[in-house]
Amino acid sequence: MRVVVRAFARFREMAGEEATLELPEGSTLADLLEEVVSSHPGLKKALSGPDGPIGGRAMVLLNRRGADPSDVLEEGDEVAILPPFSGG
Amino acid sequence: MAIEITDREFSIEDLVAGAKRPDAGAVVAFLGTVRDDGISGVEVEAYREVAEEELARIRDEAMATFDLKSVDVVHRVGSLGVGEAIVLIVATAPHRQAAFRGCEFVLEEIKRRAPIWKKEIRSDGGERWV
Repeated sequence: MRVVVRAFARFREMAGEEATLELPEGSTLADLLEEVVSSHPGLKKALSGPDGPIGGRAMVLLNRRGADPSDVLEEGDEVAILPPFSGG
Repeated sequence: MAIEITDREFSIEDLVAGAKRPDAGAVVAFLGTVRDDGISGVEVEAYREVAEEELARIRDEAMATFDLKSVDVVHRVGSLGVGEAIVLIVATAPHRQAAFRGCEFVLEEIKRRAPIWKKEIRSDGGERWV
């Protein structure tokens, strides 16, 4: 199945704006993040934390909503990786 | 009421004039601008679809929490020079307390919750995400 990964701000500069990843059926969000950080080691530190792949100060959204690392992905899902916000 | 993320300049006067209404005796506007911290400007980036949803949610929460009549938010994206407007919030209410508090609430929640980022461009060409 194919899943779209979007990255923003400093993460976009590390990983590119958007990529489509091919993953085995049943893959979880944690599996996808492992795949992303293995291709972009600079992201590993930013996305790793004491709580697992989604931790620290970064945020990961699945289809524009909050998500859990154990969420099972489906064809066409959109995953976004977001550094800490600084708008306003 | 408007919620907008835009790469175009906006008119503060038009937004304030459009927000005025007979049942609101108070119109509070907050304008955030690019501060000269030894920089030439900023690049503003947003996860636009999510940021617009979040701004609308913040507006709805402010309307439900404070005695407001309207809330408008415009946030710029793209390249902005020192002194240019980044964000405008206009809150109207029958009385000033609600307008001030509502406006501040919206600003603080935008900073905390809206997926928007700024990169400082230094005068020497260096860059830094903030």
